[in-house]
This record gives sequence, C-alpha cells and structure tokens, in this order.
Amino acid sequence: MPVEALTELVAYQQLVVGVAKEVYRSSHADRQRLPRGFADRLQLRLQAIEQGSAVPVLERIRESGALLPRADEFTRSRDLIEEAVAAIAAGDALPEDFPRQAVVLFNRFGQTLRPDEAIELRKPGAQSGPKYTRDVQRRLVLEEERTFQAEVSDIGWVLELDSTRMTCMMRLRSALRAQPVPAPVDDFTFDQVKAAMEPNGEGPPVHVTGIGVYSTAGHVLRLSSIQEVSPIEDPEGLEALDSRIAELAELKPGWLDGAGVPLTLEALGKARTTLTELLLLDVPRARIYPTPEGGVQAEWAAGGYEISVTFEPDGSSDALAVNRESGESRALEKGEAAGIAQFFQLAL
Amino acid sequence: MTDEDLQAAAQGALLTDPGEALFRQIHPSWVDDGVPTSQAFTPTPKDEGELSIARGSRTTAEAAYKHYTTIQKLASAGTWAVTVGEASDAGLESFDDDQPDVLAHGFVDFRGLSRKEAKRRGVLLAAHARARGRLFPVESG
Repeated sequence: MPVEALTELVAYQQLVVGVAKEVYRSSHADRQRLPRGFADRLQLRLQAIEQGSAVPVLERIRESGALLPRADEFTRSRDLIEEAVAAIAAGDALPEDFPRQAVVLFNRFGQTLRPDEAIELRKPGAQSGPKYTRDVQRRLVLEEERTFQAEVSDIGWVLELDSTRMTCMMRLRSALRAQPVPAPVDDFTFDQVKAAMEPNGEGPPVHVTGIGVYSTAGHVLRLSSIQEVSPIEDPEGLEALDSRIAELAELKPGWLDGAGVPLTLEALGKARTTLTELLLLDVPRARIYPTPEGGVQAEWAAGGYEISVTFEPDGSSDALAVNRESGESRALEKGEAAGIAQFFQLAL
Repeated sequence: MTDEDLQAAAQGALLTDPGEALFRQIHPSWVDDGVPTSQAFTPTPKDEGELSIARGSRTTAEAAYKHYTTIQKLASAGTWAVTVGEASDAGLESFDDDQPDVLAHGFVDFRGLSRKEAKRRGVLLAAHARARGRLFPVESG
C-alpha cells in the first residue's frame, strides 16, 4: 500500500467524525454544544493490510472499560457516507438524510486519488462496497458547494512573491485563460518559489504540486496549499509539446486529402494534459499526430517497443505497446499518465 | 472459376518477392520531426482494408512521389517504404492492383482484421519504414 494512502485513512476518520457531529446535532436540537470529548470517542487503528490489492482494515478501538456500542453517531456516520458515495456513483442525488453541512469534508478525502484509482468502502465482512473515485468526490462536493478541492500537479510560472503575507501569484499551464492564481507559501516552499521567480519576475517553468480549489467547470481558481515547487528537467520538451498541439489545433476540415475533421478541444486538452504529466514523469518526448476522426495520437519508440496513445475526439483515451520482435501487444483501456509510464518501465 | 479465383483476378496477383519495396506517400501532418505516424501504415475506414502502395518493381521512390504530388495533386512529406517480406512477417499479404490513374498501384491487405489488430500490424510496418528512413526526398545529413 503506498504511503500516500495513509493520508486518506486520516481524512476518512476526519470525515466520519465530521458527519457524526452533524448527526448528533440533528438529533439533539436542544443542545448547543457537543459533549466533551465527542471526537475522541472514535479511535481507529489499522488492524491489518489484507492480501491482494491494498485493503487496509480499520478497527474501532473501545474506550477503556467500555463495550463498543452497537450503533451510535459514528456507525451511523459510516453508513451515511457509504450511502452517499453509492448514490452519487450511481448517478443519483445525495440522500436526503445526509447532513449538508458535512459535504465540504469530502474535499479532504480522496485528494491523492489518481483518475484511474478508487477507494472501495466495505462494511465489516462485506465482499464489496461503493467505490469512491475522483469523479464521485467532485460530484459529491458540488452537490452543495460551488468549488471543490483536489490535488494539483501542473506546470507553472511564479509571477509575484509577497514575503510579508507569505503568498505568491502563479500562472498555471492548465488555468483558465492563463489567469494568475494566488497560492500560500510557507517556510518550506518559500525558497523554492523565490528561486523559480528569479531572475526577471517570471522565471523558468516549474513543476508545482499541491491542493487546488477548482470551479465547477474544473478550472483551478487558487491553490489552498503548495506541496513542492521544483525545476523542470526538459523545458524544451514542454515548449515543443505546446507548439505541436497549437499546430494541430489549426487543422481545417478535409486536412487529410479531403478527409479528416478538425481536432476536438476535448482530444487536444486531454493530450496536452496527459503528455505534460508524462514529461514530468521523465517519459521521453512523444511524436504527436492528428487522427482523421478528430483525435490525437502520441507515439514513442522505446527499447524494443512501439508505444502509442490515442486521445479520441470525446476525450477518452487508450494505449497500446507492441513488441517489435515478437509482434505481441499489450493494451491499456485508459490512456492515463501513470499507466503509460508503466509501459515505459516495461520497455526500457 | 471459383469465387476465390474471381476475387484474385479482380485484385491482381499476390506479390511474392520478399525484397520488393512497397512505397507509401505520407501526408505532412502525419510526420512529426521527420518521423511518420503508424497511422500512415494502417488503412483508414475509406480504404476498406486496402492500404495503397506503389510497387517498387515498377517505379521508384522519386517517381512515386512526383506522380502523387504533381499528377494526383495530393500532399506528401515524402516516400517511405516497407517490403513485401516485412508485410508478410506482420501477417499481411500484398497484391498488385493496376489502376489507370495511379502509378504502379498495389495494396497491403488488412481486410477482415479488427481495428485493434489492424493497428497492431500497422505499428509493425511503421517500425520498419522508420528504420529505413525517408527514401525521397533524400534526407540530408
């Protein structure tokens, strides 16, 4: 189990506690405050990591001298969370009895999830449970909020740094109309941000990771935290990628000897994002081509393999690796960066 | 004559010389930094499974390029090639297919293959063509 997954366990506990507080308040309308030590009544510990895929088993610890209650606000909270995730995953509305004030807490749970990853919430003894994905997280939060939070891994340029307020302004490559976004800095990131700003107020492109606040349309509005700012190994690769994508965006109807439709914004956007992520994962620069249907195809020759990723006009993608000697192939249904990077580990 | 004989007569003779070059003209948008895409070696839907080529035994890379760009008036970044033997190694047969307005026409047969399988075999052909490099215009340096 990756270490980052441990942060999700912490976020899950905070979510259960937060929902439980609202459950308590709704059933004790006459009380203004929660009982003393309410949150401490929920103590979870990692009992085991089961075999197979990473399945952490969380066990609730009994308070000393006490029996575990069969049902209390915390077990109700657990069930409400599962029901909410199941409903949203199925395309339904948030259940009526889920406390609306607690929806915002889903922002913290699932921040490390990649697009192709999911957290399955299983009750004790259950063989399956509802799956919590990035998409479910986003839709859940947007049921009640106008923004949602998720991990950011992007290219950026530092435009300003305010050492008094400990904030900076960054232009993110994926941001809407390249509008600068504000971000906080701390003692750890201050020097990294300062180095990236030099020498002329707009320094070299850097890889920025942190937590972003996104609009309903999925655009980063601001960063709520910066985890790291680091130099990019191959800034020319990035420039070449942007230049080629811009060139392909100009293709007119009939570009392929009378056939061929213009490339869709979905395909171009997905290709740009994924190929940028791959550059950040030290995957070599791709050759990039249009497809007659309005998609984008990226190709590499790596080791004994020919690797290609097709970004379809609707923004979906798939990948194929073909061994030049044996002719054998391996396919990926989703052409996400992490999976493609594994192809390269296989090839090189 | 059987149906198979009729079909064979209509599509021309099977090419059997493994060393014969099969020339492909590649659209400029399908070349990035001098490297052609594997799509150029996979039929598009309008090709109906027949990947057009010009036969190396009947023309040259230069003549094929000039005919394509000046007579057919189509865009090409140049002539690349695979051989009959390389197509055969990828499980593909090649045929002569004489046509009045197309120089030394033939095709590599992808008919009956799924899209995924056609793509896989196209990738293998493209790898050979890339290794050989552009034949005309001759690459400088």
